[in-house]
Amino acid sequence: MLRLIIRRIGLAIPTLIGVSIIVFILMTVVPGSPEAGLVPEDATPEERQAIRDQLGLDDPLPLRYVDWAIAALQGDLGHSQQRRREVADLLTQAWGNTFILALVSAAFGIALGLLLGYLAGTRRGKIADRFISVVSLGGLSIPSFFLAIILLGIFAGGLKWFPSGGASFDDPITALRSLVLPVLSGSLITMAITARVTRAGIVDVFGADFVETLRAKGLTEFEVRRHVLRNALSPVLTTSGVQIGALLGGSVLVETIFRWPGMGLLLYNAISARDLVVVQGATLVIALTFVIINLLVDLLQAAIDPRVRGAIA
Amino acid sequence: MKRRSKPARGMKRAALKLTSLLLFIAVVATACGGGGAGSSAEGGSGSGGTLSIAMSAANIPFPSTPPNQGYEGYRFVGNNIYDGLTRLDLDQDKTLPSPQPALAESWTMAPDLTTYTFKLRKDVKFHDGTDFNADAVIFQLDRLKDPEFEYYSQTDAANAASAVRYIDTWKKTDDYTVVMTTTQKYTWLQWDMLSVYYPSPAIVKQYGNQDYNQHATGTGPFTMTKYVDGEIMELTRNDSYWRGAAKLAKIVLYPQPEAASRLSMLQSGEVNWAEVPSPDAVAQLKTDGYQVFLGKYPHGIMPRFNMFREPFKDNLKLRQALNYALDREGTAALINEVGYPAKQWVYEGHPDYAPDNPGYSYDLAKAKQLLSEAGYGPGELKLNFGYTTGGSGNMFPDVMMQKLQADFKAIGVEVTLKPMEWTVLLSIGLDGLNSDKWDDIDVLWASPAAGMMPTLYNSAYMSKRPGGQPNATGLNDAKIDEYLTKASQQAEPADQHKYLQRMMDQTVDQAYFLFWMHDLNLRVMAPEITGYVHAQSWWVDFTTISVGEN
Repeated sequence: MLRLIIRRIGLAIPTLIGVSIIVFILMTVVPGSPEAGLVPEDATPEERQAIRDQLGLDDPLPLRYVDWAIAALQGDLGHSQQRRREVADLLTQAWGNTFILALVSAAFGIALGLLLGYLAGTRRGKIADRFISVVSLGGLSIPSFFLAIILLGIFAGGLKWFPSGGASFDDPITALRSLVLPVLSGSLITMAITARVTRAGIVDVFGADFVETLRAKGLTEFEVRRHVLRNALSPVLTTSGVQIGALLGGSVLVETIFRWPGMGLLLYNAISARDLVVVQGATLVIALTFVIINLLVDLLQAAIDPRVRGAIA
Repeated sequence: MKRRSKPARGMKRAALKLTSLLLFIAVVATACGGGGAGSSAEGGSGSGGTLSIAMSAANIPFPSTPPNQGYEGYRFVGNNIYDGLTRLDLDQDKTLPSPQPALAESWTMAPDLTTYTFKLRKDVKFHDGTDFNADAVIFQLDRLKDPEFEYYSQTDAANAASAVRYIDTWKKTDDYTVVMTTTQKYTWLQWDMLSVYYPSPAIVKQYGNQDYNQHATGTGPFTMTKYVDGEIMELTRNDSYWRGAAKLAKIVLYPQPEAASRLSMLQSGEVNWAEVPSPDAVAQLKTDGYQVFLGKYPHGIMPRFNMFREPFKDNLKLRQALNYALDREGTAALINEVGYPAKQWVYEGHPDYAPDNPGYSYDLAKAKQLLSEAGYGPGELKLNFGYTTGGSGNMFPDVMMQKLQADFKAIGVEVTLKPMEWTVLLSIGLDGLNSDKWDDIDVLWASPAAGMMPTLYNSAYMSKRPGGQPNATGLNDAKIDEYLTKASQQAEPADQHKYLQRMMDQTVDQAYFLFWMHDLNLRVMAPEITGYVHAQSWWVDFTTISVGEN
C-alpha cells in the first residue's frame, strides 16, 4: 500500500508540472490582452505599458513560468490585479464553496445511482429496469445547465420553494435550501453514470460462475446479492472517483446559473478576464484534487477488492 | 444506413418526452407563480426598505475609485459610495442629465478656458467621520496623476485615465478651494469630474491601496457595510449625507450574468430589481404586475467599419449600401421592441442630434444599387464581423447578429460571424484593427454610451487617440476632428451642441458606422418600488427610491 502511495505521488509531480505548463502556454496564446479590462480604450501606450509591466506580461515566457512556479512552491500563488486579491484567498474561498457543493452532489448522485443501478441490475428486463434505464439515459442526455434553468423556473421563480442562487451558510436550513437546486442539477450526470455502471456490473457479476456456487452452497438470496454488489463495486468506485474529481473542479454552468461562488465560476471569470495567475492557481488546485481523489479511489479499491491488492503487491 | 434497435429508439423517445414534460412544467409553474412575487421582497420597514438588485455584471464591481465593471460599476457602486465634484441630475427624465454641483458647490472657468476654480462644500464628511476638503481632493488627484506620490495607485490611475487626461496642474488655494488647469483649452472638465471619486485619505493611509477595497469609504449616500467579492455587496444609508439622507435603508447587490437566473431571482422575491431580463419575458412580467421600464437613453449598437483598408476605406457607397440594407424594424421586432432603429449615433431628441439628417432607411433596392456602384456584384463581397457574445450593455448580440447576417445576405453580401469574448473586444479597442492580430476583421461590434457625455465621443470619432495612436478602427476625418475639438473649446453648451450636431451630420453623411439600434434600457422591478426615475442615462439616482412606501 505504501508503495502505491509513493508511486502515485511520484507520478503526481510531473502531472502537475505538465498541467501548469500546458495551461500557461494556452493562456498566452489565447486572443485578448490581460490589461484590456484595466485600462480605457484611449489609454496611451505608456499607460498601457505601465500596467503590462506591473503584470510582468513582457517578460520572456519561460522566465514568467519559472518565477510563478518557484513562488508557488513556496506557497505564494501570486496576487490578482484583476480581482485585487491574493490568489490563495480567492482559491480558498472558491474551493471551500465548491467542496461543499461537490460533496453533497456526489453523495446524492452516487447514493441514488447505486440504488437505481442495483434495482435495475437485480430486475433485469423488467419494467423497473426499463424505467431506470430511461431515467439514467435522460440524466446523461439532459445538459446540467438546461436542467438548472428548468429547476429555477419551477422551484425558485414559480413555486418559490428554494432560493434561486447564492451560497448561504447562515444556518443549516438556509444552507440546505440553497443547496437543493444546484445539487439536483449538478448530480444528475453522476447519478446517471453510477446507475448505469452499477447496473452493468451487477448484471455481469450475476452471470459469473461463483454466484451459482454461492447458491449451491445454500446462501440466502440476500447473502448472494451482498456478494454480487461487493464484486460489482470496483468499476463504480473508479467512475465515482472521476465524478467526484470533476465535481470538485467546479461546474462553470451550474455555478454561474445558481451564483455559487466556487471554482468553476472563479475559473470562468478568470479565463474571461485573462487573469493568468488565477487560472494557473485554479488549475493547479483542480489537478491536485484529481490526483488526490484518484489516489484515494485506488486505495479504497485495494481495500475492498483482493484482486486489486494482489495486483499492487 | 444502419437502423437503431427498437429499445434504443424507445429510450430516446422516452427521454425526449421526459424533457418536454419538464419544460412544460417549468413554463406552467413560472406562469402561475409570478403574481405579486416581488412584493415579498424585504421592505416596508417604514425606513425606505431594502432594494435588492440582480445586476448583469459577472462580479460585484470593485468599490475602488473608480470602480470596475464599466458603467454598471459606476451606477450601482461608485455613485452610491462616493461623490464627484459634480453629479448628474438623474432625478428627472425629461432631458439629458448634465453636470450639477456636488462636492463642489460651484465652479468657474477662466476666460482662457484652461483654468477651473472649484469651490468645495464645507458641510461634507466621509463615512469615517473625517472632513472632506481641498486636501482630500488633492490627495485623490495625486493618487491618480502623480507616480511619485506615496499613495499613487497604478491600477486606479489606469482605470481613471480618461477622466483626468486633460488635467495639467492641481492645487488648493484654501481649505475649500481647488484650482485645476488643463493641458489645452477645454470646457468639459465638469463632465470629467463626474467620475473622479474621492475616497477618505485617512482610510487609504490606514489600509493602503492594496487592501482599500475591503474598507471603501467615501462621502456618498450609502456606506459599504458588507462586501464579499463575487457574491454580495450591502450598502447602508448614510444618515448624514450632505444632500439629505436617502429614502432606502439598504441596497443589496448580487452579480448574475445569466438573464434567466436574474428573472428567477425577481420572481422568487429574492430581488426586487432585475437588470435586462430576456425580452421574451417582458409580456409575462407585465401581466404578473411587475413594473417594466423602457425609455430612451444614450446607448446604442453602432458597429464600426475597418477604415484602415479595403473594402471600406474610401468607399462611401459601400458603407451607405450596408446601412440601407439593415432592416432595423425587423431587428427591433426580434428583440420584442426593447430597442428601436437608430438614425444617428445619438437618439432623436438628444441635444447633439443633427436635426436635418434623416439617416438611413431600410431600402433594399437602393442598397443593391449602391453596392453595385461601389464595385461589388451579388456574392462578390465577403465580410468578417467581430462581435461579442455577451457582457453588460451589449443588448442581445447573437440574435441581432443573425438578423444582420440575413439582412446583408439579401443584397448578396456574405457575413462570417466571429463571436468573441468581451475581453477580446476590449483588446481590439486597445490594439486597433491595424494590428496584425485583428486585421482580418472588416466590421467590429460597438455598444457605446452614445452621447451620455460629450467626453465619450473621442475614442470612436477622433482620428488620433492620446499618445498619437490612430483611431482604433481607422476613422480619419479632418472635419470631425475639427468639430469635436471646437465643441470641447466652447464656453456655452449651445455652441458645443452646434459643433457636435455638425459632427453627427458628417458622420451620417459619410456612413462611418452602421447606425443600427438604440437601446431602451429594459429594467424590471417589483410593484412595491416607488420613486424610481428612468433617467436618460446609464446611471440612476438611488436617493429618491423607496421600497414599500407610497
